[in-house]
Amino acid sequence: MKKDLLAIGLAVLLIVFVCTGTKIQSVDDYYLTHIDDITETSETVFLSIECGTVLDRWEDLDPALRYEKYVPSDGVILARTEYVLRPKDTVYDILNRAVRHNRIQMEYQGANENSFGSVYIQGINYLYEFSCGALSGWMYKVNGKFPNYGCSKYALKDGDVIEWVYTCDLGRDVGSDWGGYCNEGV
Amino acid sequence: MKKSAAVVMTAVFAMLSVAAVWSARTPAYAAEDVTAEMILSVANGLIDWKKRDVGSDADGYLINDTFLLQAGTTPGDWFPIGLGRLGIEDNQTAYLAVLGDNVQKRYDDPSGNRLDAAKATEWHRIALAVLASGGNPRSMGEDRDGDGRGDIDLIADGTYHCVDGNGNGIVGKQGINGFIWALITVDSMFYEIPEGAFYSRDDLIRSLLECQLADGGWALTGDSSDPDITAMTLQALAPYYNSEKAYTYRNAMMCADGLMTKKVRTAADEAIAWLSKAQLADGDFNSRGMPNCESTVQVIVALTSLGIDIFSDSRFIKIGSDGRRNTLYDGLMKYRTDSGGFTHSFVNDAENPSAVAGEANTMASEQTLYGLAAVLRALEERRRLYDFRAEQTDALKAQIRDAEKQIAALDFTTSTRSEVQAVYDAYLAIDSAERSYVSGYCELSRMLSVVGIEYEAEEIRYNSGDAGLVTPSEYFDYTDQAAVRALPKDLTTAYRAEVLRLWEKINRSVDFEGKAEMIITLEKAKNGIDAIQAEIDDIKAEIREELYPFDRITLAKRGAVYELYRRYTELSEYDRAQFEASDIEGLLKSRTQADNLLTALIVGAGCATAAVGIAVITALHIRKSRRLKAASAMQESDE
Repeated sequence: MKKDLLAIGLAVLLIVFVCTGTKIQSVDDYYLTHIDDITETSETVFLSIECGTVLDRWEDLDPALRYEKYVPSDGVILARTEYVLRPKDTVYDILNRAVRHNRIQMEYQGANENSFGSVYIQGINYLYEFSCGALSGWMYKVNGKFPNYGCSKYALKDGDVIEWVYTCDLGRDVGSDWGGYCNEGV
Repeated sequence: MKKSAAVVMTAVFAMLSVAAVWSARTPAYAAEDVTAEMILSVANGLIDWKKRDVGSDADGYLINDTFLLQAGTTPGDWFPIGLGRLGIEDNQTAYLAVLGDNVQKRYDDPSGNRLDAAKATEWHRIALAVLASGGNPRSMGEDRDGDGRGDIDLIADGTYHCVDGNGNGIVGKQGINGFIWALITVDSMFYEIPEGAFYSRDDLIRSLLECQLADGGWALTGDSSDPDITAMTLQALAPYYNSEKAYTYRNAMMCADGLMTKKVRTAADEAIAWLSKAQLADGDFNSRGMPNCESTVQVIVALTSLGIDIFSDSRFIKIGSDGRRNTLYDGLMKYRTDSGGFTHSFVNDAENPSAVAGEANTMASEQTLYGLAAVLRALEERRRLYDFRAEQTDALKAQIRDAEKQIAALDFTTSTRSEVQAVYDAYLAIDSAERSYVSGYCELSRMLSVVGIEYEAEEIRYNSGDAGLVTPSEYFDYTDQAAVRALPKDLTTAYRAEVLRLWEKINRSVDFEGKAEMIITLEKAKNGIDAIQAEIDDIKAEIREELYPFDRITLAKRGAVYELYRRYTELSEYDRAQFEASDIEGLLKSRTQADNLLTALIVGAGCATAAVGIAVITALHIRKSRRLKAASAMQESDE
């Protein structure tokens, strides 16, 4: 009788084990596959991608891009999303992870391919520099401020809020009075 | 009186002591001090700095394999422009070979944007780099139509016929830079613009005049001038400074209501005056409130293009705080660092760590290199920096100098109509395409109107083909032949530059024994490397397509993940290094995830089977023990 109870207990345990989907993983495997999972102890940052300025400058936009899939009607390409901050992560690293995860097109110039010594974002979601006038291009803010240097040089800290914004007026339409990083390359 | 004298003396002493400290740091350069050797020595120091930057020896090439990875980009193309215009031989053959192949690949890209959808300056920069390196920008890439020349014409595609797939002009899309560089490029060999082209020379010139600012200069945006853009516009307008053609256009910044009419010379003089005012005491220039190297370079290139002597023209000599006379050359040398490279600025901008104050950087150095070329060329009476035509003959130079002398000898009060006419005839005797090199023509122009002589409408003889450009045939020597034999069987993309250089050279080489076989070997090698590159790009694209979002990796994808991983590991170590860290992380993560899912499935199936087994056995066991119990109970009742 006791043996039977034991056997039933074991069977139930096995079924619970299968049903809860418990995985058998090495520590390294677990770390690798859960590196971007947000837990209570993770340091995180936020990222959004917006191109709302284009909506007001529709006539300047390259006609090939005048579609919802390139410029969403609310201007939001990626709503504010939380990402795990890994040690030494830069603004570029987070953007790269975000666009990969969300399968958003992105094209950049490597740090050795321009004179700034930093990665330069040329296009996101097929919106490129000059796609909407001679003063248009991508810029980024961290905690509301525009750093005037390359995104692969900006090291982040816990809680930082990154906003990638498309400007049609060298930054003035998105609240920057500086705006020089884009558009100067010859 | 005494008191004020004492104050003056104190001030003089103070200035002298400052001067002593200052002059020890920055020697001032006068025209007679600056020699060609000196400029070349500064240039060589700069090149050595860049060689160290790309990991090349001092006696090796600057254009090495590392450098060649950037052919067709801003830092990859401006250095060759500087080298070529200084007349420094480097690995230009390899550069042209790799650049040509890169251009062909960009033209072949399915996007159809060729070099860029909106940046015409991509064509301009590359065309100028090709010219500076001894190539022909009208005959780039492969010869697919079999007419014996490359099918890509960077001049037409980048300037007068720079239009996208819908027939819209591209030149203005990036703003004023597009017009500036289109004009510089089309004048680089005085190329003729055919009738009915999308942009005419006048279109390009008028576009620049239309955005001149009220203060006389130009800027990328806003209403106050910027030295860089003002100087670059002057570089583009320089060949038209002596033109008497008046342009009528709309410019709201200069004339709020209606049209205005101006000659290029008038606009240029306004800009020169603005630059003269903007120059700083050290001889350098400010951009966005920061004294810097690059602005200074651009002004040097502009003035030398206009035939202005930067060492003697009083408009561009400023008195420094030490009392010294500072020229633009002094202003430029201020930014030279001990490493030989040039620094962007000495002002530390806390918000801009990408250009460290006082530390040599690429942008300042690449611009300085061609700025030095402009100074050297002016000193040696060679053509302006962006005029790539064959150098003027001594006879032509003498003719120009003679006309200049005659102009200088004219006098407003005493010269007669016939004297002026004689000088004008001497000017008109100069080839129309060379008259922009006559400095002082504006004085003659004024005299002409004083004595009432009509200008003759100018008909400039432009260059309709490739005239002036000779691609020399080469000899594929023993070293080259040995290099072909030394190519390994298993190629990687590390050999791309070498194979392309040999391929370019052998195709231009005179015949030699075994040439046909070597062409076959090299063609195979070239195609093999292209195939590897295509495989790398394909794996990268598939990683992006297949592996994201990562949390949706299912067991069904395991085969595809493993196949991608196999293709990745089959590449050589060098080729694997072309992947981004996140590509590799994605691969490993997905593979581990797929493996985990499989393990979970096997373990799960095992557990489920075990659970069912145990349940069945237990059930059977319970039934059996119940039956036994029942049997024994019956036995008991029987008893």
